[in-house]
Amino acid sequence: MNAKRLLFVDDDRMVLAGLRRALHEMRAEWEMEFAAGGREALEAMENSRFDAVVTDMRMPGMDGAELLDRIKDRHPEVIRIVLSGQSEKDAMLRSITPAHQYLAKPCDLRELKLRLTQAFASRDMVRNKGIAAAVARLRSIPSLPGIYNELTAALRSETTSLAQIEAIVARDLGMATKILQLANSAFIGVHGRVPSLRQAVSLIGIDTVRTLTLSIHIFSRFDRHSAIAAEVASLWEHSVAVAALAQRITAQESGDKAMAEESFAAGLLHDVGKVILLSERPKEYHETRERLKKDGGSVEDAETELLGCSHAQLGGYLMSIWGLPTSLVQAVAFHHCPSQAIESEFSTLTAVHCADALAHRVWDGNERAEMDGAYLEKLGLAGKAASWQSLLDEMQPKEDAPTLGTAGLGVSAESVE
Amino acid sequence: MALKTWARGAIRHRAGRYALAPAFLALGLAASLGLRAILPRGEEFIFLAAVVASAWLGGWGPGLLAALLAPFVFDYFFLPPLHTLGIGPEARPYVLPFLLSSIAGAWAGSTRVAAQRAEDRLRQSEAKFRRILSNLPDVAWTADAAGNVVYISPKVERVLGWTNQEIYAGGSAFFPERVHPEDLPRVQTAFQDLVLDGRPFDEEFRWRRSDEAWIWLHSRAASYQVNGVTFADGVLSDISRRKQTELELQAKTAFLEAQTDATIDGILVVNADGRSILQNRRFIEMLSLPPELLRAEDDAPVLRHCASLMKDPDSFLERVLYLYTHPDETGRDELELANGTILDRYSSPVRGSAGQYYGRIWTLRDITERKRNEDTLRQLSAAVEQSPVSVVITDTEGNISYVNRKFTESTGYGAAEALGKNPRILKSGYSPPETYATLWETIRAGREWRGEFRNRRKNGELFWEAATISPIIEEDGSIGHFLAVKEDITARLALETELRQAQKLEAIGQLAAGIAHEINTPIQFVADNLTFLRDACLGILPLLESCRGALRELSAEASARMDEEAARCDLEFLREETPRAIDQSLDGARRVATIVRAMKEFSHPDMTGKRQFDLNQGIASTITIARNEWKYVAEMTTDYDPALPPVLCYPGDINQVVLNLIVNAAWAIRDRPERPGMGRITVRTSRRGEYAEIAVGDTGAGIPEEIQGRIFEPFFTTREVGSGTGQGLALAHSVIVRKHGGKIWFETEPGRGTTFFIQLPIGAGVEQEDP
Repeated sequence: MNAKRLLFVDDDRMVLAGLRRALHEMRAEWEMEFAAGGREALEAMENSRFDAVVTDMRMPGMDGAELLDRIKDRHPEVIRIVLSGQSEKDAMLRSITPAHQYLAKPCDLRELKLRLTQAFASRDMVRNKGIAAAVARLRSIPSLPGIYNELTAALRSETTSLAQIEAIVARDLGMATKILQLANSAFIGVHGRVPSLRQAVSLIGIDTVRTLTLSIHIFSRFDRHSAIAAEVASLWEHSVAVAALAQRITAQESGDKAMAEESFAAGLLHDVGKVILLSERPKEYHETRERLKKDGGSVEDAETELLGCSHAQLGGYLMSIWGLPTSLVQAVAFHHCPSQAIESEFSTLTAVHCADALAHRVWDGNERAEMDGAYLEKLGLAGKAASWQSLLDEMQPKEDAPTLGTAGLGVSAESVE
Repeated sequence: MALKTWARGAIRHRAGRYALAPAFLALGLAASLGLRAILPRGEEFIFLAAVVASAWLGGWGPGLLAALLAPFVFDYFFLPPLHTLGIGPEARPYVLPFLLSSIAGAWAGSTRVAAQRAEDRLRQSEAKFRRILSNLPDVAWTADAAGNVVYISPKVERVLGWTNQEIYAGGSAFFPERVHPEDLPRVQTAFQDLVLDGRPFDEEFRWRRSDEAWIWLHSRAASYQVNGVTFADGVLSDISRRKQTELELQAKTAFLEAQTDATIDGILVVNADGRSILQNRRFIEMLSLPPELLRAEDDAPVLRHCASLMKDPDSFLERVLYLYTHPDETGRDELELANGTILDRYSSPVRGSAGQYYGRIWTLRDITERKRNEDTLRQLSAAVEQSPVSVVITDTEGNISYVNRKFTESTGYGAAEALGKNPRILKSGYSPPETYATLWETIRAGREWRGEFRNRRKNGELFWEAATISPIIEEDGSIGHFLAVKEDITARLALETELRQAQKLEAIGQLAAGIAHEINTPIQFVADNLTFLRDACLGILPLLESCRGALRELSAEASARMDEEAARCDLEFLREETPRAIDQSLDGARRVATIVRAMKEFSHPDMTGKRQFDLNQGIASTITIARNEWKYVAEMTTDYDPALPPVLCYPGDINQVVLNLIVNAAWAIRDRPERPGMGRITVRTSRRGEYAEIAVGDTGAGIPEEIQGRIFEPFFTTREVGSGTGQGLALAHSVIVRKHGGKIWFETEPGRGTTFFIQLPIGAGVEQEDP
């Protein structure tokens, strides 16, 4: 593993010097350069390759947002992090778009190291550099047009409650991912990382969600006439189902409400890599599906062979550079192969893995989707499958799953066929 | 004389004549007999004269009777043999003369009687006329063509004051002289027409009586001719009284007509048949009646014309017909014309003194202006009554004569309670007496006064009023009333305070954000450098030790020199204290960061919206920034419930409330009498069902019982002026109860301390516990 190259940008040289000293211990893994302004930073970027940029926001001449915008255009694969002492809301909201993460000064460098390390680790799994760059360039995961419209309508009404907003966001992985990204940016609060949607929405607050949605347009949506509309719709249906089931499984197994909520979020987001592939590499994605139909074998293998990474890794990568909590990243990245993760007890990952397999088998009739028996054995949960199955059965009539996706996408039943 | 009258009367009657004839005969006999004694001869002639006289007196009947009796009586008394009945031969020569003379006497007597009878008849008829004339009220007169009065009833004296004799004596000039000069030519012409052309005379004229008084006379006359001479007969009467009445009536009528025309009302008089008999000019104007309609015989077109002007012609006609068919009814209503004019119509029957129905009078009055004024007035009055500010009107003594609805709402005093009272019923005692003195001085001087009162409602609650009080100046320039327009500004003041507070908070927030930025950047590198120093130190110190170990092995001398150096700079101390110093510096940097963050969190402008809020975190921040308020008087104990879920609330407001409670707690401890040493403030959070509870306790003086009920009142403060707005707890109450639907109360024990409790509904976070 070659050393990661980082560029730190701040107009205050003392800050740069402090960072240089304090991060000196990382010298084995990181090569660090320091630039005292936007212009210098861009020059440095031209001269050599960087994996990540950490920049101050308010700087004379070119500010952080502008710098990141330019880097995004020229070097889309670079991970972009803001480290700012600023707390004016406008400036922060402005920097949300070009940055992957936003950290507030004074920042405990352990946190910075943790986030960067996680992002680098996730990226190393994505061997296809082109796809990695595409993920880093993403501003948002597109939402279903129906749900998107529902959200904007709800936000335009003054009487909408936070709970209503949360209920809408919880049905859309695009919005859910973005909301979690924002909530995990340090400017929102000084709390630890936020894995739950409910917490995320309430932390951000309805007014900010309104501004972000209606003025800054942080969410985007699918074209309802696109070729992938039908697939997207069924993907949503599946995601919502897995989210609900993962939440139930966690609630049953651990009784921890916070963790159950986390499982819901992880379940909702677990296939976010597929959405990326569908919109960024539709051709390759469809090839993998064809290959799977023809030759069988695991999804992971097929995708890795053809694309250089699996959709799970891709999702994990996106979530890690967006600063989502490690538990979520892990649950998404390893939802097909939980045994590769470091976790060795029941976790969000376990719930998502099992819920996904169960949902595929029951609803899609996909016999290949199986729970990792060895993994469950190791965790001592081998006998639980049946009780989870019954959770799913209980849920089925209640969840109006088949219509959710189509309604959300806003396409007619015929076009889904 | 009496005898003569008697005799004259007697001979007018037949019986008298029959009695008188023999009486005269007997008288003549007696006289003859008497004279026979004196006179030698001729007694027969005397007797004969008596016979003729009695026949003359008696007329035919008694005369013939006397003629028959005379020979016998003569024979009996004068011819021998005396006193023998029957006619002796001696008497025979006397029979014929007696008879002839008696017949002649009777004839003459009868002629006389006839004449006398005619005269009597005439006299009787004359008496009758005279009686008639004297009984008539009028005076009859006869005059010749020259104007000489030849006859005038004696009654004239009563009428004219002159006797008829005087008039007769006055001649032809008598009358004209006394006729009023204005009337004279007319009267004379009429008289000339009468006597010359025979045109009847009928004139009224003024005439001067004997007592110089003017009277009105009316005379009528006709002329006739007797033997070619023209006379005029006429009657004359005093018509002064009638004339007087007539004049009065004329004047009255003139007045009435003038009044009818002069009045601003339109008047129409109709007779019992419903035909119009009079309408004044105003009536015609009002209804713009065309002249041809007025001249028309029929009234129906007039009515139709009127109806056509009305906004609602049908109901107009219906009403008119109703009144015509119900003569006894009086009607009053308002007519609205299509052109917007409003007429007040009054209709009443006209009845004579005996109650007979003459017709109906209609009166129309144009009340458009009045109506408009009334409307304006009504609007104004409604505006005042429903005004959103209190309006009070008092007399000059300050007794309330009017209050509007808002006053009632605002003060709790009903209008009936307030009327007649003095506005000092609202006095709370908080507004200084000088305020009232200035107020009265200003308004009594006729000027307007503006100011604010702190008043008391009926229920004892205090409230603030902004008042404008001004005198109402009457037309004569005097002050009639005082008008107070007052606005309850309690809520506004509270809001203003709230707003000021919010603005203050916002300004602090912005400042805090700026300061935070300024502080955060150096803190970043201070902390980074300290981290580096600690790491470096942790690396260098063991290195130093191993160097010293190696040196000891290499050279005892160098080692000893080294130890000496080490002792000189107290290496042991450095090795012990340097890492500690760095750690403590790091800790300090973290503390600064915490304070900055707390400050930012407490005052962050983003915190004004409603959102899920971690109360524990918020309270911790608040305690941090309020540290300076409490740290010299109290120790702070906190007890946060880690399981407390986020609460849906306005974090900025909640922070503010908690800050107020903590500051109050510190004050309560500071104010306690004779309790030296540190007090204690205890802040605790916990969950109570669907509520999150915050308790802030102090070991202060407690709240005296008499003010316990008022501490949540706006502007209530126990501190001296300037040290608090008195809004802290009122604001807290409003924020918790009104804005969040929560509860706030306190428990206090004088001398021991007070604990304030707040309960906030946890809100949406709880409702969706189980999806």
